[in-house]
Amino acid sequence: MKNKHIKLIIIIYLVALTVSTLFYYIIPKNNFVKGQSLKEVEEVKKRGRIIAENIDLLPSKKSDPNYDIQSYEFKYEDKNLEIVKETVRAQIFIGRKNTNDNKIEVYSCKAPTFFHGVEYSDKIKEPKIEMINSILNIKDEKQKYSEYVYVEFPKDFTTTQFYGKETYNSYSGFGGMGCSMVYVKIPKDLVILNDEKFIYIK
Amino acid sequence: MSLMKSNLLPIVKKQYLFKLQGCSKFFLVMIIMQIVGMIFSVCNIGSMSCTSNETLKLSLYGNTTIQILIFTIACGMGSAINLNLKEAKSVDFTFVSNRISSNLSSIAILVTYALFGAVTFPLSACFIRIAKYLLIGGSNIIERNFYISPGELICSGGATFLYILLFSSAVYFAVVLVERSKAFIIALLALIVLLPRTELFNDIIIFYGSEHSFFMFMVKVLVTSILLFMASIIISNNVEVRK
Repeated sequence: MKNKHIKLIIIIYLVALTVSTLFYYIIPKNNFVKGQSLKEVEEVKKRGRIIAENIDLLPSKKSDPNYDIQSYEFKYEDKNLEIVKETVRAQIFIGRKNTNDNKIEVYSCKAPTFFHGVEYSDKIKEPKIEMINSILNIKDEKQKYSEYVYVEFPKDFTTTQFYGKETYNSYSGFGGMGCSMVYVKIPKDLVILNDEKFIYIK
Repeated sequence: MSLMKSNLLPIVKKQYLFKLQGCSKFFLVMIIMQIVGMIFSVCNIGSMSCTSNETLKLSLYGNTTIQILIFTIACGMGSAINLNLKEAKSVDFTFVSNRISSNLSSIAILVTYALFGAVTFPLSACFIRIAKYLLIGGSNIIERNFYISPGELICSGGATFLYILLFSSAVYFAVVLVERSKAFIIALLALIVLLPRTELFNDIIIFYGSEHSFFMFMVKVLVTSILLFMASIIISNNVEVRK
């Protein structure tokens, strides 16, 4: 190949790279998948740990915007309660109130789940909680199988050597990916008929 | 022998321009290698991680530019070998020159390659980002690290230049040693095989790779490269003409 052809190729290559770089700096920045910063992920992890270690805090955190807590209240005047658990994603905790107020309170909290700094908790449905014929049903919501593919551009070492590197691990909150914690607060003397599947809080 | 006293710099410049013409194909090789690296990157040939449960699967592809960088550095090293080949060296004797001017012009060529790599590598990182954006759209791209600030771009270019220079100077020195005596081939091969198993190898990597101050990294690389080039000039200065 002649030198003048090589020169032309070099010029075309440099121009193509320069134009693509200019274009790269002007593309809209609002339609990307938002990733959390390492600090934000750590904050969420910390909040998840607090809940996992103190499940009885759920009622007090109900109005806290940092926690995604669903609450339910059912009037219940029977002496016994049957709970049907048809869930693989939720752990059920039972706590007793100090009084017999004929109310069953249920709090459900979804584990914050991150995959390489991207939160996808909203893609997992919480268990469905309902009282049908005096039976408390806690079931996994039917969810269609879905697959998400993301692309990330890790910085190479010529940048990370001087600017530092943030390493993101997957975090699936308490109990694994997509798990929830359900806290059932029952009146003082209510008897749970099928109590073998639950964790009792003293 | 010429009776005129010649000035070194004009001769080096002349030799440099002449060699640049002759070695321009190496720029082409670097371009091809970078394009291959870009294709690898855009086609997701790199890291991939995934997590799933019964209802959800998440996959993440890491579009790294490391292949482009490795290919660019390899091209710099290849040109260091090429400049010391007999055919390339014979060009020097078409000029009124000496070993010093020949080495200096070769070093200038290597610096030019390094500069070319330093300019094209960071821009190619932007190119693969924009190519991926146009191919799959922004809704599947994680925003974090997608944008490279101009400062990071300049830093990446500077570091690329220094890494190419470091590796090229090491290879240039090794080739000069081999030229001096073929016995060095065995010594160098032994070094390539044994060095990665020693503590010294880790120390070398830490010395350059763990330097977080760009200025200190620049000083370390420049001092090392200058020493290696000087050693190469001194060693090759004693070699007979046309050898």
